[in-house]
Amino acid sequence: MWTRKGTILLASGVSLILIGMMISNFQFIIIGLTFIAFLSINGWVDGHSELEISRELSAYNVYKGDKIMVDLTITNKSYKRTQQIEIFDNVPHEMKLHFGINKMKINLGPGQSTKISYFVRCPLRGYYTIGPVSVRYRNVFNLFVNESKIDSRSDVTVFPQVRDIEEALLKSDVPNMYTGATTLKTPGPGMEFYSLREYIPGDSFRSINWKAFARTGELMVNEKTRDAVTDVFIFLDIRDVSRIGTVLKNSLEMGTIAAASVASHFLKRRDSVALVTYGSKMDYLGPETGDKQNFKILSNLASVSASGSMPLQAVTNALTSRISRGSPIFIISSLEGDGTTLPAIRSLAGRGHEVIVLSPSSIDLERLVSRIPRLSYEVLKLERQNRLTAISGYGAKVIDWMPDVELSQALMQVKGS
Amino acid sequence: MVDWKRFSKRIISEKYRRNALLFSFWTLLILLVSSIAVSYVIPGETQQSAYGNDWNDLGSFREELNDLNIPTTALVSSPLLLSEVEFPEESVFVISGVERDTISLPRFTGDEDVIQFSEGDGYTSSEIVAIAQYVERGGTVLLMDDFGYSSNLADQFGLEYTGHSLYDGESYDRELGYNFVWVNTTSAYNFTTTPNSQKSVNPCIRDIDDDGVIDLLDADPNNPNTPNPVINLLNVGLCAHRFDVETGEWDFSEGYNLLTNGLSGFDKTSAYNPSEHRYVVARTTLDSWMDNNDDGNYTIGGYEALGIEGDEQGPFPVYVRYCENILCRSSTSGRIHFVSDGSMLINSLYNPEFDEFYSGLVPQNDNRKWALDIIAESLLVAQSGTNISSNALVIFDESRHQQQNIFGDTYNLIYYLLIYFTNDWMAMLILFLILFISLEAIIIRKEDPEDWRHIFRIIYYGFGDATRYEYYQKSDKIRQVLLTRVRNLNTLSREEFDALPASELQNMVKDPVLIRFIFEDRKYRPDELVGIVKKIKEWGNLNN
Amino acid sequence: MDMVEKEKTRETLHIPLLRRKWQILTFQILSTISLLIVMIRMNILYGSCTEEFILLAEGSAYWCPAYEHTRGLVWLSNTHDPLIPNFLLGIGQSGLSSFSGPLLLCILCTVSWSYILTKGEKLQNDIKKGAGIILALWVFIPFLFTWISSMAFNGPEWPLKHFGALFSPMGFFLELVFLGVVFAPILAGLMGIWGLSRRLITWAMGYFLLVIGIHAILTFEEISGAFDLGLLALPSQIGKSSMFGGLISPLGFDLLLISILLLIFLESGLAAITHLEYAMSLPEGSKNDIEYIKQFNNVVNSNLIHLVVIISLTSFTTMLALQFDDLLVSFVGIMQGSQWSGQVQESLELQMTYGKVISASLFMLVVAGMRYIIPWQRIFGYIEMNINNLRS
Repeated sequence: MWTRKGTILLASGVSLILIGMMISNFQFIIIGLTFIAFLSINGWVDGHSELEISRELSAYNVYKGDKIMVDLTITNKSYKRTQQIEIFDNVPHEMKLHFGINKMKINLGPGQSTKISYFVRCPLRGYYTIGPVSVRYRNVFNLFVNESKIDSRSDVTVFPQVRDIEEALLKSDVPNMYTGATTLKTPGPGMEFYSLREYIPGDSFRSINWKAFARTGELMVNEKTRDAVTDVFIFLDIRDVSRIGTVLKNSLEMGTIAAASVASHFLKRRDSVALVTYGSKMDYLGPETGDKQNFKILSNLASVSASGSMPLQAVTNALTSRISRGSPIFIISSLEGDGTTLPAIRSLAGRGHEVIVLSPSSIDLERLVSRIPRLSYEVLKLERQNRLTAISGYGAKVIDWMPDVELSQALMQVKGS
Repeated sequence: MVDWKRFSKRIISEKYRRNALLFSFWTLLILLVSSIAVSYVIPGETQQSAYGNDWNDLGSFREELNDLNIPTTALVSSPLLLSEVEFPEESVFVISGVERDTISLPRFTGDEDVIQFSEGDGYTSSEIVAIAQYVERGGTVLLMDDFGYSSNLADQFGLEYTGHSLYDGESYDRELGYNFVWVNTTSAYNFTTTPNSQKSVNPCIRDIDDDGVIDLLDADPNNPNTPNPVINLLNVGLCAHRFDVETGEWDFSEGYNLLTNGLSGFDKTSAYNPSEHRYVVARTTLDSWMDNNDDGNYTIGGYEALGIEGDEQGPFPVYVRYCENILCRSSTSGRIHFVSDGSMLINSLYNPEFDEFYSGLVPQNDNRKWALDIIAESLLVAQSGTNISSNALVIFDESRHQQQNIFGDTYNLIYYLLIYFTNDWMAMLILFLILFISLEAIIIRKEDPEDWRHIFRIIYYGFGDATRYEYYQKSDKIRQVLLTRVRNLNTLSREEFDALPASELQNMVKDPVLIRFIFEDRKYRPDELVGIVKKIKEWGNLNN
Repeated sequence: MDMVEKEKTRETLHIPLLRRKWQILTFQILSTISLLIVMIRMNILYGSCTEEFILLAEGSAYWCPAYEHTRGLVWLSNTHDPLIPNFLLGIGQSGLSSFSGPLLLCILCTVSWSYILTKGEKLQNDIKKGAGIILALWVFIPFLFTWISSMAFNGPEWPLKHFGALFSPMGFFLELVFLGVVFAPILAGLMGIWGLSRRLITWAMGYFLLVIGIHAILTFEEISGAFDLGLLALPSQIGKSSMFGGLISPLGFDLLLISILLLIFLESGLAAITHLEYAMSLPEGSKNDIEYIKQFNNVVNSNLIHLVVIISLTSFTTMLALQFDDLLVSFVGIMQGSQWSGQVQESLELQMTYGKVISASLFMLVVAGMRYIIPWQRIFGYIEMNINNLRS
């Protein structure tokens, strides 16, 4: 493609020649010819993008707010010089350049290579792709440009942050509800040694304790604790209303942090955790334990986005049969715009579940982006309080989570019935 | 079966319409271009070219000039270039047949019309002006044409081509046929009706002292007694055609027997006008007639009564001389030789020996002598010597001849356009405007790709429902919120609360302001509502 | 070895360092030299009045709108003494030395302007204010002085007849205008090159083209015939090619030199700015990054090579293009015999400017098309690779 300068040079070259002929002026003709010759000769040199590009990232899965180092190696595999080209690594807008820059002007000889190194910070949860690499050949005198893209992409998952809530849960009312349950050890297919027992046909050979066999002469097998003694259910509201607030501070973002932290906490304690997200549809991740489950939950949470308006009751009704008896249930929702919240929580509480409602204060989040008249704000706040009061009236523990309050602090102010 | 609904839907679809529009645009463009091209490139016989060697070309004439060391050159684009000829007074512009028209634009006239939109056939007005200026600057033009497009050029000098065939009942070559008319003149240098020879204009017969040696070779042109050098082939130069090598005699005759082929004539009345420096040099005989009705028959006398346009009886002027100076007196002044036959110098007439077929067939004529006299008259401007100066030049107009191939035509067209657009004022103006507009357009419209830079931008989606804010300022809503609060804090179900008597509700609320608010359904001022909401907040806290 | 390493690592892409980099300095010096030569060549070609005009002046001071400053200043100094000393105006000197004074002024202006640019905006504003005040004082004080002193002797009177004093700085401005005709583009060019301003460089280029354009129009026959300003026109014929073995005529060479020098001035001036702008756009971290430094050097070096090679080829190509009509005539001559080739070979068009232009355009088409025929880059790539192999 011709640049503005190139086009102007061509047009003025032709004009000068013609005007030179009109007024019989050789200087014009020669300047015009020189311009055209300059363009013609420059046309001989052409840049190219037959480059080999490889990108290495310091991490592919990071937590929100973490930094990644990107190393882009560009090698000219051809027998030609690349000529002056600009390399630009397409970094998603949601990532912030922290150190260095994602572009470079290069001119690589045959076989030469170079490296662009830079750091990006990921302030937003989600799935992102770094790449493709844009290459722009620009003629030395800026007469022609040529753009192309090299399809080298690297996927990055940014998980929600995981906060340490152990202390908060210890201090607050919440863990007491099922401390007993979590310490109750029952045998099961876990990792931690529980006891020895006699071999029963059908037991796997791998579980035979050969040392005990040598000592006692009887086939003994190792019994292990069941890893999760409690199934913790986390219901995360990802309906459209959960986006109320700013892009960095809204119910959904606060909710994902809370869900990740709670899940992580319980998984560390070898409980099994189930995650239910509901918005335009319900997404159920069954109770499992271990790091794998943690990864699954984090990945799920990385991908959620606010949409839909599925009522909570529809979710609880669908899952009633799957929720094990006595399992504690975390409901993370702003409780905004859903008339079924009360009956759903009532029925869960009625079935003997410990229900903890963690509710980011949507009206305060809304206040971050919208100028709410004082009177309306107070009335809305009162209405929200009424709703929370009603829920706690059904025996649920309710946390009114203000935007500027840390999760651990919020958890400490559990209001019980 | 044809699905008409689908078909019509496809026909009115945007894509179809766009394609149809594109197709019609290109068709129109191709039609336009081809119609212009067709009008320019007319397939036809190539003839009267100074660079051809056919019987009807002028190759022999040009070769003879070259043999005389006269530089010749061709004008393939446009006579507009004549303005660039450095020494017009020592040059001759030979036009032999104007066979075609060319592309032209409206032009500025300089009169009250300002702009003249239509151009005549043949040369464009700017070209005619260029030729006229060339003559003004001292150039000689030899215009030989019969039924071609030279009438505009002749018009410029007050002359009019009749455009009809001229026949002569007596003076034609019996063997070659009636198309070959003899034009004989005995005094070609007697320009006016009074007998007064202007032979001094022709340096090859100018002999002031009448000593039998032309002035150019005379040791003293004014003294007949001064001994003269021997005249031989080495010193006759451009006048060699007047010198008989065998007899050693000089031909001082002022007459020419010119053989024509397909003769036409000039308008009788306008041809001769000494005040405008137009002189008739040769006429046809009294037996000649102009075939005005182009029927090829002799129709003179009484035919008008039958509704037939009659022919006209001769004599007709066929060779007219226009002089820039009166009687062409200065050797460096411009002149034009108008001849109403385009074939006077074709190979078969000029030099029948060029081909065996013509050598015995075409009779002896003075065409060559006449042409070379004109050349000598134009080029020998210096008063000494029969050799030309280095500035001498004979220019053949090839711009109005058919070319043998399309490439030749295209080449000429490109030159024509370039010369036309850099010489004609209107074309220059248009070209200048085009250049100016395209430069402006580039400056305004052409944009360079922007520099790449990473922009950290997280889409800011503030989300909230501002329309509900007003609703939450209404007293009804506030009342509902208060009642819910009362119900919740007293752990009553909806049914229980609804069944509650008013007095009990009053007991529960206690606060008189709030009680009044619950029961008094009136319009509240905003400040009142603010107070009430404050009270509701406090009420709940006190209760707790 | 360590010393070398240290020396290398010390190189960064910080602007103060880059301004001392030899490649950048080469660009700037090349641009400056071209600018000055353009000025001198233009003065030689466009700085003269016609003989008739000089004769008409009969020995007294005369001025024609040519690209020359001393004539106008001498003409001006007849009416009043110039405020700027003669040696700075170049009056009384001839040839190149007449340029030295005004050039010194331009250089001083450029240096102080570049210096002021590096200082804060406050100083710039103070200087502007100061200049405004001095000018106002210069205009009004002589006026007030003459008026009041006149009133002291003659009693109260209207200031009307002292208005002439208001125009006392006029002479100075006229001097600047006459100097400016020749030196405005030089000042702008110098300021553009050393003060890194694209706008000023392109402005200077535009000014030169304008001077050439105005000269061309004023000396165009149709115009100069109507009113003669005494400008000496360029010869209408380019003349016989007698230089470089018949490649170009002396006049052609002079004209080509101006256009090539203008290109060098523009391109090398802009190159320095482009590279410095790029370096400026890099964040601190990348300025110290060895890869960035290496590539910067690569880019700057290739630019320098391109400048030299492409400009040389451009000059050569233009010369060939101007001479191509001869070649074309001989080429057509090979196709002897055909009527068309005969007339084209002899055609007047080919012997005139038109022929030159058309054949030059044809030649340019061939040159431009050569990119598809000869794989230049691959050839140079192979050469470069082999040189690298040999070195290693």
